[in-house]
Amino acid sequence: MTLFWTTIGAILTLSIYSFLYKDNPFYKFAEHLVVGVSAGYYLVIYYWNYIDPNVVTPVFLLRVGADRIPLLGMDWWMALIPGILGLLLYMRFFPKVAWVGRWPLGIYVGGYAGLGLSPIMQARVITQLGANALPLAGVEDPFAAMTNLVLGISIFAVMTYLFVAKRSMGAGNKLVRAGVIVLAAVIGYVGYLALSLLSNAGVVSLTNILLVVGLLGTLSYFFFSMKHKGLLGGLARVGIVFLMVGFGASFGYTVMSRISLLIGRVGFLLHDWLHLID
Amino acid sequence: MSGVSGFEKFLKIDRRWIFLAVGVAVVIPFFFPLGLLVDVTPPVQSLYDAVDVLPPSSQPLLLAIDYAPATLPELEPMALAILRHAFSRDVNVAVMTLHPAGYGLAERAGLQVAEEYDRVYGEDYVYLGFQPGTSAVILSLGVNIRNVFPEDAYGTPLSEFPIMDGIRNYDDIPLLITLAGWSAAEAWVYFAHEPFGQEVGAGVTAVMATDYYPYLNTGQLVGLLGGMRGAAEYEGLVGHPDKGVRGMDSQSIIHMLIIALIVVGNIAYFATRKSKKLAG
Repeated sequence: MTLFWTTIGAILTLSIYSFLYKDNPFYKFAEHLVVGVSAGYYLVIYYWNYIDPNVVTPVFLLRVGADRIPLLGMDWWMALIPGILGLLLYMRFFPKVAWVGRWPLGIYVGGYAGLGLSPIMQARVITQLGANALPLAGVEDPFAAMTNLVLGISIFAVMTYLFVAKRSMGAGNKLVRAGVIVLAAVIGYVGYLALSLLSNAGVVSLTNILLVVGLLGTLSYFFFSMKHKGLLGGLARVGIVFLMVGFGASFGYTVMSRISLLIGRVGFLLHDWLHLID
Repeated sequence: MSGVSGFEKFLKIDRRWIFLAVGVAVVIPFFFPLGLLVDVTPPVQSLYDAVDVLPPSSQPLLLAIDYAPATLPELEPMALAILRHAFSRDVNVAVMTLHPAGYGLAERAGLQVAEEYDRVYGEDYVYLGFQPGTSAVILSLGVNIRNVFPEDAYGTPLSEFPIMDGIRNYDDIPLLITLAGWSAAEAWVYFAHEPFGQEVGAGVTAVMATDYYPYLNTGQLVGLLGGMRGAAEYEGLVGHPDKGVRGMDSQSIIHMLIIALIVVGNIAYFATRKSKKLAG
């Protein structure tokens, strides 16, 4: 019996891969079979793992003790509310009352937004921001700490100049001079870094600087409220380089992922079906 | 001139020849393994270390097998390797899934490795089954596991399993590992790590791996396995080479083939472009 089902699996695998030669009825058959079987499988799994224990059983059969719904531990009658809301979703198939289907959808979207807002904000924004607030040199070194402070202020000054002052007032001489001072501070820092490269702390600094520069460059690339000229244009071009490196890494991983699927199927054919390899 | 003509032919090659070359390159290492070395990278080592320090016969490792058949070749070797690591050290394991198609796959992985190591169901490992509603399920597990899984996958109340004695929520789960071919791994970070401080490790498909490195750098993930290579590295650490290691030979050859095709393709493109400029 195992051989029978393995052979079925092998035939379906070969049918799917036959598409690489050209579209054909075997491929179509396998494709439609996957869609149909998947839909049926999901329906059964969802019904018996979700709808039956959390709606049907507590509401109609009451065979779960103590009037409690297993999931969420609510009173049994409260299952009626999400149950009815779930049914209302299907109103979209009836054009005259399709609008009723928006109510449960709104509740679902609102509920998920409420559940997710805080943890997702924390995970994707606050923690990530914290991870990018990196020491650009060893903080135990007073000189390095001072340099970090100067660099931080410099970056802030440049960003302020770019995003606020330049737009509203134009590039005045004082601001240009301030920019020169900032540039000097940056050059001084780079000189310090070059010296510190002789130590491990210098390497860590370089990595952190790359990360911060990549972050600022990438953010600059996606800042469309000003023309990408001057410093902003330069930062944006730096951002493009980092983006390209990121895309390249993603492409390499994607190749590996897709080839893994082929390897898995070839292993199935040679090992599980034909028993040609151990 | 003949060289340029050759390049033009190359650029117009029927892509099915490339498919054939890829197919041959995948099959050959199955019969003639190259045994190429797979170095262990820090993210994999971190996850291995996190499992390696779990106390034996104590609070269980929660293994969320959140993958479907479509990502089986990449993620199942990870599941088997992690289970082998845990069972070889007598670490208890609770298996569950957030993916409906993972229901049978999670059961299969648990059964296979439990049999290899003579683990007893209910004492050494338990299969909690599937619950839909990803974010709600993950959040509810932080309150009380029995709210979500009052019974195991086969309908037996959790109170009847010694492995679940005193296990209430994430406070009693020293490590959670999710193996996901979709966004479930992110959901575990959002809803288990952030609100509850749960230690989370992840194994993801190679396509997803680059998206998860930021979580690794921040400590939101204790370790990360990326694709078949991640599985192969973990298999090497466990000392039980299996499908991951076997597949890496084919991976390596395919990558060399694709790099060669990219290089030759670019040379051909620029050579033919130059000749077209000269001609016209």
